[in-house]
Amino acid sequence: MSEMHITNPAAIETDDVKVKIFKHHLSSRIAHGCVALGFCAAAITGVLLFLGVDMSRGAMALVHALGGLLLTVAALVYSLTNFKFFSRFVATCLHYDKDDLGWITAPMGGYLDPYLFRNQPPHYVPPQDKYNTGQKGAGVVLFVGTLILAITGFLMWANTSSGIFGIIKISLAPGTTWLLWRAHLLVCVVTLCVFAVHFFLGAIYPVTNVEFGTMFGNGIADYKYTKKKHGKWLQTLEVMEEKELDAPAEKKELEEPADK
Amino acid sequence: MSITRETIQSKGVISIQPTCKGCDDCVAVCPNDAITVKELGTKHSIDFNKCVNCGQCLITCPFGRIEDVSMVNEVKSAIGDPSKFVMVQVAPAVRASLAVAFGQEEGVDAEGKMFAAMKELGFDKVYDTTFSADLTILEEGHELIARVMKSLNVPGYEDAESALPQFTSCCPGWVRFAELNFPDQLEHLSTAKSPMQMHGAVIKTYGAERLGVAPSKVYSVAVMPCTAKKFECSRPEFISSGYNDVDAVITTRELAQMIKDAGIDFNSLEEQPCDDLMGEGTGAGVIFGNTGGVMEAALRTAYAVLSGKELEGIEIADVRGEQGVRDASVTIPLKKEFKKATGLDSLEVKVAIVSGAANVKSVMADVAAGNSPYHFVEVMTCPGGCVNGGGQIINHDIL
Amino acid sequence: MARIERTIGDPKNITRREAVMGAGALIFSAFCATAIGGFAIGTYEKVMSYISKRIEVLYANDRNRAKRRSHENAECIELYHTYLSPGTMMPAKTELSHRLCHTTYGKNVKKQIEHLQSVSVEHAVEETEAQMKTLL
Repeated sequence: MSEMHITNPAAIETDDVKVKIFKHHLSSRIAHGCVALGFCAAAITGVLLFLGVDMSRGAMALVHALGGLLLTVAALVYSLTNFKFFSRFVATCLHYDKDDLGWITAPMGGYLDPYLFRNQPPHYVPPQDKYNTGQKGAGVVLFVGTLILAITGFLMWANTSSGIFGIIKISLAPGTTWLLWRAHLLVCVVTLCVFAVHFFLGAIYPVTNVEFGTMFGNGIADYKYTKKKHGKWLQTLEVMEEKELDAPAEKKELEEPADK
Repeated sequence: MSITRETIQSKGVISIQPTCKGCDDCVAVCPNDAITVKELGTKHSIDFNKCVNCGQCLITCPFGRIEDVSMVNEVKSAIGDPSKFVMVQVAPAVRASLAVAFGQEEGVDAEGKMFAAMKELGFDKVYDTTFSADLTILEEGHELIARVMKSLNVPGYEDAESALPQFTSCCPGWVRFAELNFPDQLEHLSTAKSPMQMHGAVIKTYGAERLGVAPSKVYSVAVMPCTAKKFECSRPEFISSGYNDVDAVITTRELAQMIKDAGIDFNSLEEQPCDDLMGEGTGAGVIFGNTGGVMEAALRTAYAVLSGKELEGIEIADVRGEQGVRDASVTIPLKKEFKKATGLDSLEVKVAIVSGAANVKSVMADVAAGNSPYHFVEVMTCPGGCVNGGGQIINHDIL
Repeated sequence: MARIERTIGDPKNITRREAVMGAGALIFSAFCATAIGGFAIGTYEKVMSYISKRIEVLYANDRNRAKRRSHENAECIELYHTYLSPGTMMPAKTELSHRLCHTTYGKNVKKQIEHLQSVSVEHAVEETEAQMKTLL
């Protein structure tokens, strides 16, 4: 990955100025946590139910349904109460240009370099936005996938004997039940594959798992990592707060919106 | 009793496989709450002591995880056994769905090809249950008239059954439903057997005699749109002929599979009629497969017997339809001898039709309370009648 | 010299394009939910249509037959005349009619089985012939 030359004055680090990049707001982190928890609960119980495990199916099915409910409600509430963050996320995920083509043809953002191209110099990867091409694509797949899982899931839940907590009850034709189930399974497989990569890169792979602390911690992204991998995004950031480190009594707050 | 017949009598006809997903679609269609529902997503099982063997759950399961006990192997070996004379009867409803198994659209009448296929399969005689449906109307219709006459204190009917309304008894799912849920009201059930059982008994006595075949060599098979008929044919009391009146029942699905297994190209078969002697059927017999069909057939004949004339227009629209409970009344002008005997000019016969056994509860509540307004009630367990029976070709189309 | 820690982040406001995308995502989700949900719930009624088609098959079959009333069935009439009620047509009257065409339920079944096992069909034939002598 080639580093971009940063010209955004807000984002330049000097000997005097240390830059802290605030990547994820608290509400985003909470929503992500709920979605992650709900998704994992639903995924694990879902796989076990699908395999036909006979023990505690009732409990597992309930956890599965509640996990899906948590996931859906968290996402819905976040998108409405933090509409700006949500919109920015959607817009980023849906924006693709020649830098994305370059990322793909790199190949694959240079991730394969240490394994397939061991004795060669690393490939050139165009500077990336807040989320790189792979992350944006994953975002779209996970958004649409979870949407379909939620819709098919709630329909099937409402079709069971007591419906959704006895409140919502519908009747489906058997052919519809079959179709919804098959769609649920297919989309589940796709989302699990994407999620596996997302989880691996975010939590396990040493090169990228610095991001884990960002999302599950205080929301602050690693400066070096961001400058190297998401230079385009760095160019767009604005100053939120400045404070002096050595003089704790004094604190200056400046907000200078940069020109867009 | 063969092993299969004993199994059926002790464990029932229908079972849910362990690969059940717990989607609950079957639970919604069970007329007698026989499918256990514990918690969300748990695998289901059928309670033999509540199951009426109707197979609605089987044709509903979106994943095909419910099965019925099969007697196909016994039928195949009987056909292949040269010492056995295999006679088969086919129910009216079978011809209304068989063609779908061979790529046709719903709504195709497969009667001619159906008989042709069965002759090709090697059955020695192929009959139409429509014949015994007519026989059932004659027997059950006269039983109804006797009950009504007895209720009007007409002399000569003292030996008749008393309970009114009379309920049809051709649906084995309904008979079992009644035995399980209304054991004190069984005198309301017509004593007439179902067409299938009458046909079986007649095949091994009258039929065997006429055809010059020893009854012990006759193997009597029935092709039915119904899984409960498997339970019915293995009932120990159906031995009027001195043998099992019906040895085996196969469903429409199983017949289709047998035709495919034999490599018969169903769609290019020449249409054939069934055999004589016990195969002729009138239109009244054919409509037995529809909800309201038994009632209409009975009324067509009851009208003629009581009035000495034929019902104008033949069709009785008031008993047709698909709602769960319907009723109608037919005014029959009485012929001279009935006028004299009853002191009435005409009889207003009030009837009810129940489609889907669970819907019978309100009618039975009135019967138990003694204030049911009806003379005759037709009950079919499967919504829509036998054409939508648990043995029919499965239709899960949603487009 | 004092060292400064500068916190930077995304701009406070979103662009018009971003807002449209966000709204679009929400509308898309709502649309998918109603479309899939509406379709799914509507299919339940469609199930009944195949039943109506099969019902019409039998009513049409009835209309196409020359004989449409059970009492016109020549083979049934023959069955009564030569076997069930020899010499005439008398449904539900004779011992053979009773034995072959009628049954019993519930508590009475046991007796019925015993009766059928102890009395032969031949005996029922004889009894029927005797009955017909008195009835005719």
